[in-house]
Amino acid sequence: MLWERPFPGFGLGLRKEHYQAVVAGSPAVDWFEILTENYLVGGGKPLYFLETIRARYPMAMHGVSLSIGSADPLDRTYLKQLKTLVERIEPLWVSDHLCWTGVGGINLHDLLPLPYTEAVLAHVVERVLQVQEFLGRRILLENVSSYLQFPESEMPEWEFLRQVAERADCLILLDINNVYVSARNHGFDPWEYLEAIPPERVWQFHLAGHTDLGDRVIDTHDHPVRDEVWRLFRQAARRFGPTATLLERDDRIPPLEELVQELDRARALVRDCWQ
Amino acid sequence: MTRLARLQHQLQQAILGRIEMDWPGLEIYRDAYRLRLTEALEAEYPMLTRWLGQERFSRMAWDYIRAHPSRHRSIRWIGRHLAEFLHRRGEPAHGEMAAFEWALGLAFDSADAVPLSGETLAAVPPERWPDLRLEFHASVSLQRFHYPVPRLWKALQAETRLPDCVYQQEPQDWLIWRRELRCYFRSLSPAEARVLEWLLDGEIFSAACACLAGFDLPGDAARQMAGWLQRWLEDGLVVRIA
Repeated sequence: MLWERPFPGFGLGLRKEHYQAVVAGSPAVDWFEILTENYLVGGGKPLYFLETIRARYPMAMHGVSLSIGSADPLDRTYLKQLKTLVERIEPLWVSDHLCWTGVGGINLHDLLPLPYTEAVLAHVVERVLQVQEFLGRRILLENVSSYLQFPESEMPEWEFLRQVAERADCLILLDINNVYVSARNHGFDPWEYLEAIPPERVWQFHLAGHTDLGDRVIDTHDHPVRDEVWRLFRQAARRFGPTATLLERDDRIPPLEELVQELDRARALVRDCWQ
Repeated sequence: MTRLARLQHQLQQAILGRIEMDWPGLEIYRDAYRLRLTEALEAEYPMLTRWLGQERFSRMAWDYIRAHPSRHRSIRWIGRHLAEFLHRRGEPAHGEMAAFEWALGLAFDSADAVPLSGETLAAVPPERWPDLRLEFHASVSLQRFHYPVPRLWKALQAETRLPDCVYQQEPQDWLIWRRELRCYFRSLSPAEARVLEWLLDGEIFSAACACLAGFDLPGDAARQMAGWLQRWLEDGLVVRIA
C-alpha cells in the first residue's frame, strides 16, 4: 500500500431537508458529505448548519463544478473559494468528478463524460496536478454515470480513470451505482471495471438509487439503492476492503430515519467482509 | 481551438437546444438540462411559480434559460436576471415578484455580521454625529414596487385569496433584511426610504438628514431620524459605524 487509507465508516450526503433532524437527533451516521457549491455563500442558514453539524461529525467536501475535463482554463476564483471553505471546515477530503460541466464560460450543471484519449488524459492529469498543488492536498475524482460515448475513445473508462489517478497521484471516489448505470448503458461488465481499479487509490464509495427504463438506466438519486447495486457493492467491498461508504439521495428525499436505516443495510451487508 | 474544445462546444450547443445533433444518448443530457435548470428556478422563485402555475412557469423558465444560460459555478445564481427578463418581456408585475423573491434569496445567505448595540451608538460624542457613516448588514436591501407584490407573496404563501394586482402610480418602498437566520420585510415611508437609500450608499449622517428637506415630516427631522435609527438598531440592520 502507498499510504494508509482512512476509514471513517458509513456516511450520508447532508441535505438541507435534514438539517433540523441532524441537529436535534444526533443520528447514527459516522460522517457527512456536503455539496461544496451549496456553501460558497456569505452566511445565513447554510453556513450556520454547516458549522453546527461539522462540530459534531467528520465531513467530506464533494464538488460538482470543478469541471476538470473542460477545455476552458481552470476557474481560479472557484478554486480560491474552495480553498477558503476547506480551511474553514477541515474536511476528511475534497472530491469532484471526472467529467466536464461546460465550456466557453457556460455551466450546464451536469456531469458530462469525456472522450477517453491520450490527449484528453494528458489534459486532465495536468489540471489535477494544478488543483492539487493549489489546494495543497490530493483530491478524489469520481466516475460519473454516462449516457453517450465517443467514437474517438482509445481506451475504456476504467483504464482512463486508473491512469488519471496514477499519473496525477490523485485518489478515487468509486461510485458503485455509476459503474452499474454506465455498464448497463454501454454494455460492459461492471466487474471488469472494478477489477481494473487499484484498491489503494479508492478512498470512498458512493451508493445511490437509479431509474431503470429497460433500454436505458438513469442515475436519478431519487430511489433507495437497488438490489443489483447492493450486490455489486458487496463484490466491491471484498475487492477494496474497508472503504468510506456514502449514501446519496437528491430527489424525493425521505425522512432522515429512512436513510439511516438504508445506511444500516450497507453496514450489515459488508460486515462479514470488513471484519 | 483544440479537438476537445471543438467537441465540447458542439455538444454544449446541442444540450442548450441551439442546434440539433444526432448522437445517441445526447437527448438525455438535453432533457435533463432543461428540467434541472427549471427546477432550480422554481426553488429560487417559489411564489412566482405558484402565481403563474407550473406549466406557464416552465414555459417562461425555458425562454429565460435559453436567453441566460448559467455562467456560475453554483446553480443558485441561475435566476439572477429573471426580474429584468420579465420586465423586458412586458410582464412588470411578474418582474417585481421576481425582484422581491430574489432579494429575499440574497438576504437568506448573505454574509453574517453582529448587529451594533444601542450602547455603542449612544457612546458616540455628539460632535462626531454629522460625519458618521453607518454600515449595514449585508442582507439589507431596498425595493420599490408599483404592484402590491409583498402582499401577493404572503397570500400565495398562505394559499389565501390574492389581493388585486393593480398598478399604483406612486410606488411603495420596501425594506428586506435578515436577523440571525430569519428574513424580514416591511414597507417604508418615502422619507425613511430616501434616508436609508443615502446611508446605504455610504453618505454621511448630516447629508442623509439634509436629504429630508423636501419631505413633509410629522415632527422635526432630528427627532424623526432618532426614531428611525432606534428601530434600525432594534431590527439588527446596522453593524458598524465609521
